[in-house]
Amino acid sequence: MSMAAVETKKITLRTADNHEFEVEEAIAMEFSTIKTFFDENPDASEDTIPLPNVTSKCLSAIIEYCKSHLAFRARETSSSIDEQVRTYDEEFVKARDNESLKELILAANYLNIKALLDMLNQAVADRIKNKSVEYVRRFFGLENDYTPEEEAAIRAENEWAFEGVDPDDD
Amino acid sequence: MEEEKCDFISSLPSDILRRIISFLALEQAMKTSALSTVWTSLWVPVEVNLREANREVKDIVDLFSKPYDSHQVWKLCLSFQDSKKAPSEMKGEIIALAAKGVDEELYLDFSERQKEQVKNLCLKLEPCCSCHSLLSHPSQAATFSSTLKMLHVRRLSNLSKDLISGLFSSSQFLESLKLEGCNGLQSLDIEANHFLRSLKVIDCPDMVNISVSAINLRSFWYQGILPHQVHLKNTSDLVEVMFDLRNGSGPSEFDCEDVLSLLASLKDIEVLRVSGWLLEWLCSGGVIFRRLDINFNKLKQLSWMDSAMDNTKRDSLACFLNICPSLEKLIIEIDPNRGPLPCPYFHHYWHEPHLWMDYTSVMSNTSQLENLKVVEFMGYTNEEDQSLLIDLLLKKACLLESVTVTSPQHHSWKVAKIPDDQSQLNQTWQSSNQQKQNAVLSLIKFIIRIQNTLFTRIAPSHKNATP
Repeated sequence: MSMAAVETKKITLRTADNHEFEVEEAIAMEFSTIKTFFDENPDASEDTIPLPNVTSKCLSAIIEYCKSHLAFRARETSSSIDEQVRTYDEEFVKARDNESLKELILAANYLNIKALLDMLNQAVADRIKNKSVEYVRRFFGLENDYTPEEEAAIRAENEWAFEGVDPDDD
Repeated sequence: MEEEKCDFISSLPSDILRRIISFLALEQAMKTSALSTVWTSLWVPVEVNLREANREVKDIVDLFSKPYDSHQVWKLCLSFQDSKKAPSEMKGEIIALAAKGVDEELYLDFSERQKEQVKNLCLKLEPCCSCHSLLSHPSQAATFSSTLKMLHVRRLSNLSKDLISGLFSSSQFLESLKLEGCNGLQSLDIEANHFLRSLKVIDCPDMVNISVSAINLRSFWYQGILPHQVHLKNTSDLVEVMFDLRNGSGPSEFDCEDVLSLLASLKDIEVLRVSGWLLEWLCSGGVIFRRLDINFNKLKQLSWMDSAMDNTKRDSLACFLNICPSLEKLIIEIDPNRGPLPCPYFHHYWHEPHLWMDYTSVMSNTSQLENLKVVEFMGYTNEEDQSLLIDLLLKKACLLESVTVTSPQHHSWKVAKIPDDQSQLNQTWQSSNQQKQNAVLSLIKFIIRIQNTLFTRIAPSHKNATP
C-alpha cells in the first residue's frame, strides 16, 4: 500500500486468506510468536510475515483487541479503567458465537498472546459452566466415542463429580 | 451455514483444554472426563507410590499444597509399616484417588479395598499443634501447613483417618469440609478454627455421635440416619442447617430429649431443612411445641421433606409452625422414594399425649403466620391432605404472595387467589388485615378442577427432567 510514510514502524502480516494487514510495531510485539521471531531475526522486519493459521476476520479482531488494551495500559491505572477493561472484554466475547470464539482461541494460541488467550479461555469456561455433559458435547462439536456402558463406567469412577442431576440443557 | 461439524478437540492442544477447564470448579471440571476418550485422557491420574507413608505424610501434604495451574488428579498408593513389626510386614495400605482443584479444593476417595470391614471408627479433627496420631516421628509435629480451602473425603478407614486428621490440622484456612459415605464411622468430633464455614456429613450409616465446635460455622448439612447424639457447641453463627434423615432413626431408641436439645441449639438459625418424620415422632412422643422453651424466632425458610403427606404429618407440621413466627418461605418436598418410616409406640409422653386433631381443630389451633410470603409444593399429587394443607396456609398467612405447586413430573404452576363471591368474603373478614386478602374458600376445588387443563394450557415453568 503506497501511503505517505509514517513515523511508527509498521509490520506487514499476511493472513491465510491472503489479506495483508499493516500493524504498528507495538501491536505486533504483543504477539509473542512474532516478537520471538523478530528477536531472532532482527533483519526481517521489512518482510511480510505469513500467518497461515489465522484468517483475516480473526486477525482484525485480535488487532482491535490489542490496540484497545495497549491504549488502556497507557492510561493510569485506576478502578474505573479496570471497569472499562472489563466491559470491553465482555463486549468483545458477548456477541461472538462459539465458532468464532474457537477460531480466536486457536489464533491467540498460535500467535501466543497470553492475556487474550486467558480471557477467551475464561469466556469459554463461563459458557459451559453449570451445563450438562450433553450440552458440553454439542458445544464442542464432540463425537461421543464411548458406548453407554463405557460412559457409565467412567462416571462411576468419578462418581462424586457426577452426583446430582445433570442440569437441563439450555 | 452449516460447515462440516468442527471437532473442537482435534484442533486445540490439550494444554489449552486443561486451561479452559481450570476456570471451572473442580467438580464441574471433573464431569468433562466423561465427554469422550480424548477428554478422559486429560484426567489420567498420576501415580504416587509411597512405601513408608507414615514417615512421609509431610510429602503428601506438600503434594496437595503446591499451587497448580490446572486441576490435578493422582492415584495414591500408600503403604504403612508397623514400626513394631518387621519391615516386610505391612500394617496396611491405602489406595486413594485424589483430585485437586485450582481453587484449593481437594477431593479424596479411599478405595474399598480394605482388608477388614471398617468398624467402630472414631474421627477426631482438631486444629494444628495437637495432632498426635502422626507422631511416629515427634520431630515432624505439625510443622507443615497446607492451603486447602475445601476438603471432600469419601470413605474412611483406620489408616486413612490419620491422614485426614493430619490434613485437617495442617489446613488452617479450611473453609469447607465434607465427609461422605464413611461406613463404619461411629463418632465424629470436630474442633475447628474460625475459617470453617461449611460442614457436610452425608451417608455415614453407622454414625452414633457427632460433636462440633466451630465458631464461624454457617452451614451444617447432615444426611443419613439420626445419630444418637448431635452436639453443636459454640456454633452461634450457624445460619443454615439441613437434617435429611432419610434413613430413619437408627438402631438406638428414639429419645425425645436428645432431639429437643439438638433443636434448642438450632433456635437462632434462619434456614432449616428437616425430615417431616422427625416432627411427627416428636408429636407422637407427646411434645407440644408451643410448650417448649424454644422459639425459632429467626427462622425465615423451612423445608419439610417426607415421603408423603397425611393427616398426622400435616398436624405435626402445623404444630411446628406455631413456633416459627418469622417464617417467610415454606417448602414442602414430597418424594415417595424416601420410603415411609413407621412411628414407634411411645410409652411415656414428653408433655402429654398429642391429640391428633382433625382439620378444623388444627385450623383453630394454628397461629397466624404473619410473615409467610412464599409457599412451594414439590411433588404435589393432588391428595386431599396436601390440598387441606394449602388451604390452611392460605387462611393463616395473610401476607401470602405466591404459592407454587410442582407435580412429580416437574410441571409447575402458580396458585392464584381469585375473589369468591362478595357475600362469602364479607363473612370471613374479621380484621382489617384480612380485608387485604382475597382468600377463596372454594380455591382448592378451583385448583383441582383446572389442574388438568393447566397441563395443556399453561407453559410449564420447568422442563421435564430427563429420567
